[in-house]
Amino acid sequence: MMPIFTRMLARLTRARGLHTLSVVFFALALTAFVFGIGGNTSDLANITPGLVWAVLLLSSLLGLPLLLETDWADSTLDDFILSPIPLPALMALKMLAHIAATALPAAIAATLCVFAMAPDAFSPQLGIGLLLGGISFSAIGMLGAALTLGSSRAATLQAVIVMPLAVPPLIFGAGAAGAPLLGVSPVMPLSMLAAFTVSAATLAPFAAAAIVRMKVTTP
Amino acid sequence: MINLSYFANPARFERLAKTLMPVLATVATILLPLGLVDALLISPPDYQQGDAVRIMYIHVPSAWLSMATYAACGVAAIIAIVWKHTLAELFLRAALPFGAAATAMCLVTGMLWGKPMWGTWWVWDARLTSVLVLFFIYIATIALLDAFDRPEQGGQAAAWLTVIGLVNLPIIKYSVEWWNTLHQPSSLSSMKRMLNPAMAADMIRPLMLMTIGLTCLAAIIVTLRMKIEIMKRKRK
Repeated sequence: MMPIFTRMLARLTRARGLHTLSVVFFALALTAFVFGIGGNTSDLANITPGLVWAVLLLSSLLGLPLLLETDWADSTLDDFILSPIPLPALMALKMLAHIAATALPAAIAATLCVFAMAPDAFSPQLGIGLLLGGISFSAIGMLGAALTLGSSRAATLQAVIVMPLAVPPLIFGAGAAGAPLLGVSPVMPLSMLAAFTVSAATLAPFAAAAIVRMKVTTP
Repeated sequence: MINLSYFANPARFERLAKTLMPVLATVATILLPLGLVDALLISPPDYQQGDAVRIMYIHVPSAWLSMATYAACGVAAIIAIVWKHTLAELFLRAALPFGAAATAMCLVTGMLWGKPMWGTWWVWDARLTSVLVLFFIYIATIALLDAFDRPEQGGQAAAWLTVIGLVNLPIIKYSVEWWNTLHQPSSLSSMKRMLNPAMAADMIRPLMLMTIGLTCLAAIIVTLRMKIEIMKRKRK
């Protein structure tokens, strides 16, 4: 299993530098928002937790066009289906590779941004929440990548599919991140986010496996 | 238990449609004009909302249709995934755009009502947001239908996304009960409330006429669209 995971991760990071790109994209998108809103620090501090969450969602879309498409093109997916390892397990590894390549670096960048831009909103739970959110977005992203496999407009469709499905973790996550600013406890939204993440990350590999099998075997 | 695969044959579907269509058309042509006249002219204005309450006679049926169509698509999607019946895929192709139109109608009428009543076109309340998400899911699913060179792939992918999006339906249904929202809870949510409603009979009557009439119209539109899809497939 481990060599397969390393190879999957290498496919995303070594040739394409997805981990660096995620952080750079995260910083650029956040800067674009700041330029759009204006640099007034007190306004900015209030909306930073929500802003960081929305940008985290956007940066999770980055790796999706590469996630399964190259494996589909060089028929690695056929090997996956024929392999003795169950397809859902391989899809779970794919999801972990996507988390390691985009969600993890973007979540770290997001935590640092909140620390620098809105220190009042910074707490240990914030980092945990952002990581959980990144995992949710990757799980939903797996579904988007599987559904659009073989389409010529995959990247656009992935954004249209993933964003509405990502609304629940976004709402709970941003709620938890903004809780310290409102002086309320982040426990409720954080537990809802954790519950969503666990369900999404458990179910997504099975759904993605079924969709990939359908794609590869539909004549 | 009805054997669903009995109806999965296009020829049988066309025969069934031939007998059902006149019935649906008759009911719709009688109920819709009656309902419209009742809703717009006969029924009393609300003591708080005035004449703006008449928007409800379009808003509530389109909200019901937006969710009922999605639920029907969910059933069809499961059939399309499990048994790969072409007719279930054709139903998705026919019904998803209609459902999106009903959702758009629900959102637009809601906004038109919200401006005079709440003083704003839009609030980010749980009910409104979840219906907006439903609309986006409709759009994403429709976009998937024609995103592939082979239409069967699009049908299957759209069926999967429809099933995944089913999660949103209970959130919409119970949003007004789970969260304390600006959108009021349903006045006719259960049989108990139906028998002892929080609405005047003069208002329930046009609402029922419009809901049943528009549901028949929906069935007619979706059936016609399915027939067109079958004709397109036959021509290929």
